Amino acid sequence: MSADETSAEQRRYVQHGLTPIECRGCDTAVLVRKNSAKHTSVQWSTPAAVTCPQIAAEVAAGMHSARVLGCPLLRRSIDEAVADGTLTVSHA
Amino acid sequence: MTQATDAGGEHGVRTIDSGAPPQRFARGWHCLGLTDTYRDGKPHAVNAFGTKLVVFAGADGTLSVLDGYCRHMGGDLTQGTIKGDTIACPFHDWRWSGEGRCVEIPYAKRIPLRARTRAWTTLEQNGQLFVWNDPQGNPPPADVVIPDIEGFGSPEWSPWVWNTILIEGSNCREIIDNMSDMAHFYYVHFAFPTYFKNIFEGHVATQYLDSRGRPDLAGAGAASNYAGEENTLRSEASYYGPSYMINYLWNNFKGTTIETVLINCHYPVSATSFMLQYAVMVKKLPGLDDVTANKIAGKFAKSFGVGFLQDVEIWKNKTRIDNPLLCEEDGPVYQLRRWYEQFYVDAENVTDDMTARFEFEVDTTHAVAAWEKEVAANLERRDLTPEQAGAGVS
Repeated sequence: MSADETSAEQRRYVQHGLTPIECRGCDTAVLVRKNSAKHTSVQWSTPAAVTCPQIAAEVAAGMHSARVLGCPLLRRSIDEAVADGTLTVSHA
Repeated sequence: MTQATDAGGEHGVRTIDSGAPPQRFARGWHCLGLTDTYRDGKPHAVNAFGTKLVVFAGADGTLSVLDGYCRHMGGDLTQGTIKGDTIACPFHDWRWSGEGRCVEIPYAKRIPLRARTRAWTTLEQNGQLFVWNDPQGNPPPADVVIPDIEGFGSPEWSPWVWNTILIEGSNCREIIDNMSDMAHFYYVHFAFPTYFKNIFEGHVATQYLDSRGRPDLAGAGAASNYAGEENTLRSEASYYGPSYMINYLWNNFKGTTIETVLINCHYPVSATSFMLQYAVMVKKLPGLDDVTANKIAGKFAKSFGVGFLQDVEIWKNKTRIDNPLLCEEDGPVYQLRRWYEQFYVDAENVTDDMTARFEFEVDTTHAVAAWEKEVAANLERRDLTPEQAGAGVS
């Protein structure tokens, strides 16, 4: 594989199959991929500790935001998006 | 660099792009070990960042880190002598302060201009010494810190048990990859990961892991901290920057929970070697005396050592790979490497996607089901007599 092909593949691995989802808690928009009911990957483009009140609260309590497991409201929004068909669970 | 096994790819054969290890060293705090080690009145040599450093304690105990070679005639300061707050070169006794200034040349009337050497920014935290590496020469940003470990220094916890292993023939990216590698816990460390989640954000990368030991293995390999039938583990690990991981662990063994803190850190020696360091401290169980608690810490350190050596064995023989081929049960290797890349580019070239929050929860259900079947088959085979076992093999 050439270096160019590797770069293209690296881009594909980090960008492929992402669906925009808006959190019903705070309107933060994230990109989500679901490979299965259990698997979830969430790509943020906003500073989480600023736009997400749930994560902001944990950070205010002294936790680094990269140690906060996630936002329960966002998680519920993702589950709902799967339920209403907005977000497809890929089996590819 | 590409291995040309099927250059055109016309047969659909996938080739490995082994790339090349970076020629620069990561920007960030790097731990050099326990501060006590360096306060024995002698200068210490540390081979790191492609050069040699000298670490020494001044008369007041302050630890300083300078380039190891004297700017006068290139003498090796690590072979020198501490005199007051300076390190004296063994070649001509030039005295260098912790700030990197030549402050005395006993045989000279005057110190020449430009008698300055490189002094590394240091930090003492959690009983450990850190140096700041930045190829651009900038000081550490205020928000890039090594956090306090709460139990450190408390009588409820054992002191650190510190170990090092020099890893040769591998770039330190190999150990970073482990952060997202769910399946290797089963194959390399003999544990079932039952929960696995990564979060990368800013300069911090986290791995949440729950696991239980494989019951089908015994012997030396099963002595790692992850293995053992009745051993369940909860683990929260974060890298603060490119090389320093704090790992909080709760091992539950037959109803007793043992709380430990593991430090897993390294500093690069060259582009293809690094010093892996790991330290363990254990929370003393109620009613446990210090000697026993320290013994348990030592035992845990040993079991972590077994775990690391299992990794080392893989690294020694594997190839570097810039284009891993992943399945859906794998962790986010590419996103982890994208995060790691921020430490290898100039600060002004760090892009938002390297530092933006990314969460990845791995689905372990399919993997665990497959592994349970495998373990059951192994156990069945183990319980058969050699004759019965042999009969099934043609």
